[in-house]
Amino acid sequence: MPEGIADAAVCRGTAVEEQAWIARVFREPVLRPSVRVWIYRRPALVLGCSARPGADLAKRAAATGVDLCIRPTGGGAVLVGRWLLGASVVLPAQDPFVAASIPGSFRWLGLAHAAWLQDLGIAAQAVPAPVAFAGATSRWSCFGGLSHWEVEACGRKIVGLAQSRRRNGVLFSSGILIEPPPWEMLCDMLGRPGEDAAELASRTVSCAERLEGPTEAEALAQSLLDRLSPLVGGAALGSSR
Amino acid sequence: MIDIALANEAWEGVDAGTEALVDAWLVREGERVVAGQPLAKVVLVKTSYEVPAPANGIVERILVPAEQTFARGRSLGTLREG
Repeated sequence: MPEGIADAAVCRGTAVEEQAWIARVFREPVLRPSVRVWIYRRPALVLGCSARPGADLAKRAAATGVDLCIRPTGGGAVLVGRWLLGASVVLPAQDPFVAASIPGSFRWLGLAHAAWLQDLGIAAQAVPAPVAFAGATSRWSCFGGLSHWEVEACGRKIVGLAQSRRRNGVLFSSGILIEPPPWEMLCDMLGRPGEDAAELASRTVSCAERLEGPTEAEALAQSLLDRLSPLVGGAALGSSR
Repeated sequence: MIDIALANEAWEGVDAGTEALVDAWLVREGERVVAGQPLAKVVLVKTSYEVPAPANGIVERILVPAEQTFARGRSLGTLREG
């Protein structure tokens, strides 16, 4: 475990377990950073905190064997599963990585993900300003648009970011496409037309596509953990000295 | 009377015209609160944010109800200090 870190682990679990872990961590003031990288062993539709899912959506999710979760961060819908890695970075409220500016506070995380992808051989960049895409998907899907410091490769989104700031601490989260997701499944569940699935496919890219070969989720998750943990641990130690 | 608002610093770098959303109020009008207590949850640029009470006092008015958006500088409500 890197110095300065309370907890750093790769977890093979579900989105429901991820949300439960986040809720547990925030019960008390966060004193030291924690980092978890999630490999999802079953699919889940994860909605932003301001979503108000109806009973119909819950029924559709249950019928298709997909968990339904509301996450504490903002942003659009994400369909998690074996095609995506999730990272949760929990920091003390006064951590140096928690900038006053909300857009600016994503900078370090976007740059860290871009550098990690570059080390894997993917030409990726974090975008400092949002990129407006035409079309409907940017209004409801996390991967339909590029927000501050999210990461693109060949002009297509590969990493989404979100954040939750609370009195007890701050959660930064990321979702990384490691394989092409089943966009049709996401659109079917949310009652969106097939054109939206095509739009999402055209605006996104995965690690497997850029590396032109299969990806090993465990290895990718461990390398992302190894990138993020020393970074947040070092920053926390620096601020306490 | 003190404004309940999302800190100006939080809006730094946000495009003009972008609005935030009041996701939920955690208190009601007339409720006594203490400084730092989360009063409302708002969402701005993929970030949920707890708006803290600026002082001890009583929430006098809620000006932006839950599920409505607001622009930079807008007061979400007012607090009577004391």
